[in-house]
Amino acid sequence: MINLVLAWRNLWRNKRRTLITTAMIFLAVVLSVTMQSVQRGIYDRNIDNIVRYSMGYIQVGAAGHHEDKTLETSVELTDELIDKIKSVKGVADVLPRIENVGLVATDTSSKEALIQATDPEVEDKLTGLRHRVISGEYINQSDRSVMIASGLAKRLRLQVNDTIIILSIGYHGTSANGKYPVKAILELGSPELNRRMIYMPLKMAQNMFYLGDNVSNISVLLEDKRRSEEIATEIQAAIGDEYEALHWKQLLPELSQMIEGDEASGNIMFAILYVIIAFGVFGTVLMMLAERRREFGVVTAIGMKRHKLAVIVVLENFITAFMGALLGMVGAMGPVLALKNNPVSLAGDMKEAYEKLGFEPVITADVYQFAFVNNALLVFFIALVLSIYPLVKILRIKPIDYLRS
Amino acid sequence: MTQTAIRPVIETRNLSKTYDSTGVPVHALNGVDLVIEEGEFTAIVGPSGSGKTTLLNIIGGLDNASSGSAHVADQEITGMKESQLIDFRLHNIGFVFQAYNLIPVLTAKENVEFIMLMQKRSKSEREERSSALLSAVGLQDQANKRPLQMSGGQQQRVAVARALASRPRFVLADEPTANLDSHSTSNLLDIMARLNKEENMTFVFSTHDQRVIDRARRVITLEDGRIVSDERK
Repeated sequence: MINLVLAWRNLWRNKRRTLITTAMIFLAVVLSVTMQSVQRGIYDRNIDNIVRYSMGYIQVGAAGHHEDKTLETSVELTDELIDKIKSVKGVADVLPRIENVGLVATDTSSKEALIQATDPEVEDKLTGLRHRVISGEYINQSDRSVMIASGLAKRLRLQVNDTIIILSIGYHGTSANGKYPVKAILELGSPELNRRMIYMPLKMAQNMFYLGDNVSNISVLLEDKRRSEEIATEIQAAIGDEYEALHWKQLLPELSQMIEGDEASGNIMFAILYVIIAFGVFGTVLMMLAERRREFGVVTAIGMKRHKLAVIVVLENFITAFMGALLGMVGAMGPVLALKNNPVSLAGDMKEAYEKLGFEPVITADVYQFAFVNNALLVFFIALVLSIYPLVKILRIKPIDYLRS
Repeated sequence: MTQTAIRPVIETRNLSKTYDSTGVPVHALNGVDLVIEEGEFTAIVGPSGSGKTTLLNIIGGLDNASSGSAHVADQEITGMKESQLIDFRLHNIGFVFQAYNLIPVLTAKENVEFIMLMQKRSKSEREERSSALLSAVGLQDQANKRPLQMSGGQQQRVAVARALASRPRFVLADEPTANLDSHSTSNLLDIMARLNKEENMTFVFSTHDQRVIDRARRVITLEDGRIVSDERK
């Protein structure tokens, strides 16, 4: 206890220096935690935008479907298959989908589009698609109409109740064409999907593409999306080799790699930040050692064991690190929660830059526990490393040398 | 009439110390033979560079002799490792330094208790003894003040109380009055003389201060690392 008391009081011998050192750690932690939480928030939102609305965190299809995404590798939707998928712990629900490409034409122009067909009610329940409607009415399963993403609608100069013609290829190379009214226009988060998506009811698409009871694949929605890799393996084991269960990183390797690359460059930046902070704190440690040299000589001269003195000095380092890290984590909660609850929409060049990356131009944050814990541990690790030098110096103290200083 | 056997607390034989840090050997002590007995009140005097502090450092277990032996508090300390010396000093020697050297973040009472804490004495013993010692040096009303809130003389009195707290065999004081005014010096010497007389505590000073020399009962004069006179009053 006396060690802790001495360490605490020693820290406040030079209040300004302790406050400056704590402030350095505080700022580093706030900056680092906030940036990592924002990074994570943006990734999660965009992964969600892309993955949730198109393929799901896990996608089950016929074996080879991912390599050959045509209707020829469609899968028969059976109760047995659905039950096997749902039997895996962590699966929240399944959403059969048909995906195809086609040409969407109006009387004046035509564009390539991604056609996605699902059960509109289940889709809404699982992805909240209904809330993406910006004009018109959300479709239902019995409709013979479509919903079109606002980017595509804009490019084709379409409005609700206009009619489009879809030209596509159906099962076994059949010609699949149809003329449908636009029932709703949707605003999707992903700029890429917003430029290309058309939604239609599953039954209508099965008829249009001559698929019978087949679907392209089954999207699997999870209770915890961060467990997608582990659950995909379990689903694969449950459904057997006739099918393939792929997680989103396998389905979208480019996105996954881009995020990993971005995270790596971010980590380099944070490492540089912490190295600068570590040097600052080390400067403080050196100053403290120089100032208290004679005092260390006196206390060891009168009989204080060197390891006890070392414990006090190391404790001083750790208390400073603890204060900085704790205040930093509390301080980071402010901006992180503010951005989580009130995402900021970007405009101008920033908006364009985000859209070019295929990201929704929104700055948001996630309360990323890993960032909080990781930064706290990193600060303690730095404190530990910075304690080595004073530790070695103190354990080698010869009181006479220190008393002479 | 019976005579009580007087034990030597410090006994050196042919003690020498040579510094050679610059390549030119400097003989700080040249074969010092010295016996200091329990209850003595001794001043070691001499001009600067005569070896006073070196002698005190060696008999205080703070420095090693180049040759000779130092038998202190019933132990041969030459050749002891630093870790052994720390324990030896803790249990046998009380130090009073020139520049007070109290722990600045502890109060007067805590400074006195600190050394007993290192000796793992019980809380009640620590409290009782620190109060008694602060009273003995006339600072009971300053017990909760930190060193910077006290005058130099008061700090040095706390240092004396701290030196005695561990119940040492003797107290080594290196120029204890060098930074004190005459009133504080007189006050401090009164206290040390009283503790010497009443508790039979052995005091060994190195000093230039004539006021200390006048109060000492034995004055050892060093010159060029040798004892040139040893007077008992």
